Amino acid sequence: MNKVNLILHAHLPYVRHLEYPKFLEENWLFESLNETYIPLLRMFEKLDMEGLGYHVSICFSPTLVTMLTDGPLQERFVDYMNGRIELGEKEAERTLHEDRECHGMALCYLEEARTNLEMFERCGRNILIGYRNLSDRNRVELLTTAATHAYLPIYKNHPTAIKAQVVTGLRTYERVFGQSSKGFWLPECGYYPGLDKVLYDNGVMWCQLASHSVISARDKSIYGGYKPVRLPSGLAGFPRDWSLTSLVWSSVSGYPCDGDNRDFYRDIGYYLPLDYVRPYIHEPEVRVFTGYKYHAITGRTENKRFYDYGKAMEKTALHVENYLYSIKRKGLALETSGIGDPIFNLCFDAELFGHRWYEGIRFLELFLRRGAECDDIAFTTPMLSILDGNEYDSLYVNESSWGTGGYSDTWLDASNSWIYRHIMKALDRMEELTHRFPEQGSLKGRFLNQASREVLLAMASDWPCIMHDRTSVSYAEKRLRNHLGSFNVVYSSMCQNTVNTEWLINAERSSQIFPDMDYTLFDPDKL
Amino acid sequence: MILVNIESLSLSELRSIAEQEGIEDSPILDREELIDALRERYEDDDEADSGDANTRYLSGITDFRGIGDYVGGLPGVVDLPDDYSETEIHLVLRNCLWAYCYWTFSQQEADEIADTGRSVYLSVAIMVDGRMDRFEVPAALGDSEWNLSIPYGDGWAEVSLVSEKDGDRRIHAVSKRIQLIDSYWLRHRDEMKSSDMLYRIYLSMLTTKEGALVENQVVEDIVELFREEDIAK
Repeated sequence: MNKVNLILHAHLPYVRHLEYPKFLEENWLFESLNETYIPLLRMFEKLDMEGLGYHVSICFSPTLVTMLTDGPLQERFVDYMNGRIELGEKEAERTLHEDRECHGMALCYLEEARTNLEMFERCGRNILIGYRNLSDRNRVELLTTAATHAYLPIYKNHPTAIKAQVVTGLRTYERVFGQSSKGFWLPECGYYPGLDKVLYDNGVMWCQLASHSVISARDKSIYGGYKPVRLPSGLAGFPRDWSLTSLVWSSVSGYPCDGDNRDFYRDIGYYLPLDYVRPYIHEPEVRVFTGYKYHAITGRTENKRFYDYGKAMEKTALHVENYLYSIKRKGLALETSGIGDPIFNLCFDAELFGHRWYEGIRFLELFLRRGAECDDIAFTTPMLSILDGNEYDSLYVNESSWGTGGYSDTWLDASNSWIYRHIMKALDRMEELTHRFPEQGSLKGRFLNQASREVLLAMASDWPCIMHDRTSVSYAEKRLRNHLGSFNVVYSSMCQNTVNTEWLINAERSSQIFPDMDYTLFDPDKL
Repeated sequence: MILVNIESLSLSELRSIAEQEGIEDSPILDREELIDALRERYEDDDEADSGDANTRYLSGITDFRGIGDYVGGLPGVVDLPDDYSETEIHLVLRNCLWAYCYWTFSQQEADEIADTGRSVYLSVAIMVDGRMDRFEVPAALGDSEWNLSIPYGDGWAEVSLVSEKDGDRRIHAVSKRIQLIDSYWLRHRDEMKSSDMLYRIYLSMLTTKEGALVENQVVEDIVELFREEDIAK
């Protein structure tokens, strides 16, 4: 039997700028909600109602769940969706007269937007309730990750910071889902020796690992990553199968790159007359994605053909068959090599499906449906695998990640190394504050808790990653400087034994995250 | 993040972005000229087009505009200092063969070093497989970071911030130690000949359908050793 752990990771950095009527980076959340999180939930609920026996694991990062449960952001999402529906209605009309090849997709997008908004409202605007229900029905294993998705290996010399990231992540999960998380998604697959103990001591049972961590371990693996890894603390590690994930994930030859798939970039926000799209782009006249895209990837050419939905769905079905075949063939090869019942850990960013890869939701649906029909494939979760009493490889795994080169180069290179002297200093000072001001309540306690939030937010892996990728660099840098500068407000004020109340009130209003923040997590004496 | 594949953008999209970027003559530039101009603007390189398979998927061509200009700070927030005027040195593992080191001198110590003409260097200590290696890396007083080469093996590395004049050696700060990357298979070449099947199992997780190996130096070195052993056999 080939056991498949499909593990999706949903994460977005904390972006909330209510001080602006519209803020473009908030679209990261809105687009992901409309194109990934809600469609995924609809698909999973549909399969569950049909009685399909599937299992998947989904990590919702603490920053994402905070935004998904934030009233003002939920309100803004409704506004965003109303705009999207309004544009869809205009598109349905326009494509009756021009670009008639696009009419079907215009109607499709419009219908999707209406259905998604309806579901959003039906969930009381909190889609996590829907996922929690699926968890209660043992279809979905939900898990958490580090508080702000910090890339943990870089901070290993600051054990209080590691503890704060882990504990705050677990607490946020408990507060939102009302249960404890047994799994912990390592941000960027970032592991270092000793991290397993921190997780295990906090009640975590498993984490995922980078695929190369097995062959490069300090011990000899006999299962090659096709059975869970027992890390020194007892924590179970599930190595990501690079070979199988790359069939999807490869930006060169993965299924999403098929020329018949919908093109992500060609969006009417960029090519229709400004007067027409102006209400749906960014003020004053910054063209952005609107979500209405009518072309197929075609190839590396400007002359893209129109998207053919039916043809793309046929291709998607073929991709699913190919994927299942690849898993089975691999399972057979492993069996002849003496490894029975292998476990394949397929770890993906959730936003790939639907948002980036329009056909991705359908791919997952067919994958689960067709897989359920196969006698030699069983969908499972890491926790179920542990409860099944699997064989293990006991390994001492080196520091590793899924970043370029398999270590820390993505988050520590010439573009972003400057940030660490500031973040590390803030972490040192945070520890110092816990010593100088132990057990503070009331205003000073709030002040110190806000300092903890700021330093945690500064640690997010998103900022150095953006700098490395050179995408939204100026925004990332600004955010980082704001968080660290804000931390310094607390530090300098507390050194004078004062509280800057104007700053505190504004900061608490602006970063409504981690309401149960406890600054004493940074106390080295409480490790 | 979604990296923008500039070549896939249409002429109107390229013009729109170029206009936002204030590229002169963008309305009359042809497609190739626009691509060149934008690449130059963003110092683009082939990496963005080849795509990192681990790239995360967010949205947007958001850096084609100056969003940073309008993210306001909170009251009382001041710019970050260039340094914190404390003498310290830190070492961070960057990958299996390189560590990143950064340091600062307090103003007082920096002034003293400058006034007395002391030379500054990094003293690197590497304990690997029970053997201690030391080497020195000269630095200027104004330097503040360096990448240090490290070996594989069972052990650790640390770096000290040192100044010296006329044989008077002064250690100003010592970093915490970092653990080196060690691997069973780099130490057990002798077992490789009898581990053909295990080798194939390992590779089955680490290769793409095109046969490309996961990008990792230790894996590449292990594979190379296995191949050498196979040839020897």
